[in-house]
Amino acid sequence: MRRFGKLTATTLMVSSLLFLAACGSQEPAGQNAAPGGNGSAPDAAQKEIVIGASLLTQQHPFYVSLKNAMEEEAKAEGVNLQVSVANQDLNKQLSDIEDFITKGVDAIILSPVDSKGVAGAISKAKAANIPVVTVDIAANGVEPDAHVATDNYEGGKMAGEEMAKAIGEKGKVAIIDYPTVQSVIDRVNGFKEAIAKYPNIEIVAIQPGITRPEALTAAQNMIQANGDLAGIFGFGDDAALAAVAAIKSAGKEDQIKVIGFDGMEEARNAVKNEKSFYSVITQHPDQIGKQGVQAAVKIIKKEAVDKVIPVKPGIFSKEGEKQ
Amino acid sequence: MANVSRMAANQKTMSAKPGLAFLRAYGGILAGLLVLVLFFSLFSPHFLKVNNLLNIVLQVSIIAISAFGMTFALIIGGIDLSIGSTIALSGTAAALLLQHNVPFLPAILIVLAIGVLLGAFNGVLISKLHIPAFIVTVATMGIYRGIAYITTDGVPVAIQNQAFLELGNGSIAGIHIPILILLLLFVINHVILSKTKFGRRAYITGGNEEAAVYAGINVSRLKIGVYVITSVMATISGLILASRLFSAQPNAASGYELDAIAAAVLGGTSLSGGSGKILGTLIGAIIIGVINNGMNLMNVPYFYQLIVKGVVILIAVYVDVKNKKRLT
Repeated sequence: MRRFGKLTATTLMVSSLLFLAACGSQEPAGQNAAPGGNGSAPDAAQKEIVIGASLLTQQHPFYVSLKNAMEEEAKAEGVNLQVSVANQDLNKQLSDIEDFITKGVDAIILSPVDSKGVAGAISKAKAANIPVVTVDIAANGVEPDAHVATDNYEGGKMAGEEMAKAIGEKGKVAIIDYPTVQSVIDRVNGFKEAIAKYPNIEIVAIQPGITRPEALTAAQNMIQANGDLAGIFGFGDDAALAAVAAIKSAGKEDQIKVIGFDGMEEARNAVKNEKSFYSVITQHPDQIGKQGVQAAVKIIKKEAVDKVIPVKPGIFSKEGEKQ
Repeated sequence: MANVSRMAANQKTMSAKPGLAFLRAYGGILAGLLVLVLFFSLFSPHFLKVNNLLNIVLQVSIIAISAFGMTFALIIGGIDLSIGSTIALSGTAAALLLQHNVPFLPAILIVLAIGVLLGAFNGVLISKLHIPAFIVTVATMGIYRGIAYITTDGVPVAIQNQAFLELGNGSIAGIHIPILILLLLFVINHVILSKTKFGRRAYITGGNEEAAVYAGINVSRLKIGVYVITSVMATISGLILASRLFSAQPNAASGYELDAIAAAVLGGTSLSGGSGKILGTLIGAIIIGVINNGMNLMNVPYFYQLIVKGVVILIAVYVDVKNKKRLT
């Protein structure tokens, strides 16, 4: 009876390992097969470039788009790109990067789980002489070889200009904020700078609203406190969509206009369909991913690369995307 | 019949033929570990390097140390779901103390004292107010996490104290300090559980609480002690984690309680109490580490990794259930 139990367990284990072997070899084999199959002689001389990418999450359309663009670009450049997902756990990201170092990848691309906490992982890679490119989120305390991200300050300024247009260059506006994230701080500063040029526009409230429910509460408070509010700037899609919802339930769709930031599909649809949603500043995760891989490849080939590579955001309005 | 004699034999052979008892207790799980190691070294040329093996133990140290504590809670038939939050809270406490220029050693001692308090709070609610451990620790999971968020405003706190950073990133004679801490705590916990009166009482209480009460064991004091140990282990994990991350992350380690439970159960600890060994838990944690690392080296996409880990845990629980059937 006992033997049987162990036997069954072993069988289960072996079969799950076979499953693992099947799905493990799928990815790299798909990429390796091409050079291997094309004819081994010329490819054998040139060592394949391997890049490890550690991404913050795969549960947000922004990062899915980022990953897809990275994989496309890697394919186009003939690079073997291996992606791991930190699932918003910095400890896992650290382990993933340690495993990349073990594998001896030629470069590491990462979108940090946290700007402060990622220093250890980057130092480790640098100690192993592996170049590091950060994408989307910057690292504090250590300098990666390159950083590719949306120009958030520029995007914030664009948002300010859009707001001025939306409300006819006068009136009270409010900001839904995420005050601890550098990229959002830059956006808000850019927004304020653009608004400062318009003497008739007044910023009456800045409140945090990180998740959609929090942003909804913040927007409701703003509308409640300022009867003549003319506009709300949401730092991200969730904040903007929450503002749109709050305005709708307050019945002020003619009075209050919303400008958003990020521009994932849900927000773009809302711009088309919701009266109060004037426009959204769109980030280009596909561009960030593509240029991240390009920067990494250049660094591996010892070509010169800018330390900071800004990606200019676009605007999605009721007429569609414009640059 | 055979089962009863085997059970008795099991206890006797511990002292009479330690080698045989060892094989009987850990043969299955060690075989499983061996299969995994063989498998991964076959599929990845990097797996069997000394560097990588040290890497695995380093990566596993946080889960393993928490799992040592969890083993105590499971042995008495309890559970502690608050350890993920305790890990985060101890890290943030340390970072805040260091930020306010409290020197390394006092900071560590204060954090450990906080760990004792958190565990005692769990233990008192469970043993004196008779609220089920599951409920108490689900509640304190939220409470401890909330404190970590409040004290840090939800923002990670950077750590610059060099001595503290050595804790997770330094090494002595080529061996990472977290691994040395892991080994030290392994010995301490093993001795507590297998050589002390406290350990024996924990097994008895987990096996049959009523009998333990009639045998004159102060069960509520024992429980408080157990939850203090669980919490202190999580606290130490939290210190190492914060050091490894150069910062305290108030949202760190969420879900680690489940990894700790998985490690303990993989190592043969029964979820219904009365049995479990620290060595088994260590092997269980290493198995989880080997699976994570091996799949990373093989480039298994993350979403598939989740499935594989789930399957492994199912197998472990299956074996656990089988074992129990055998014993009753």
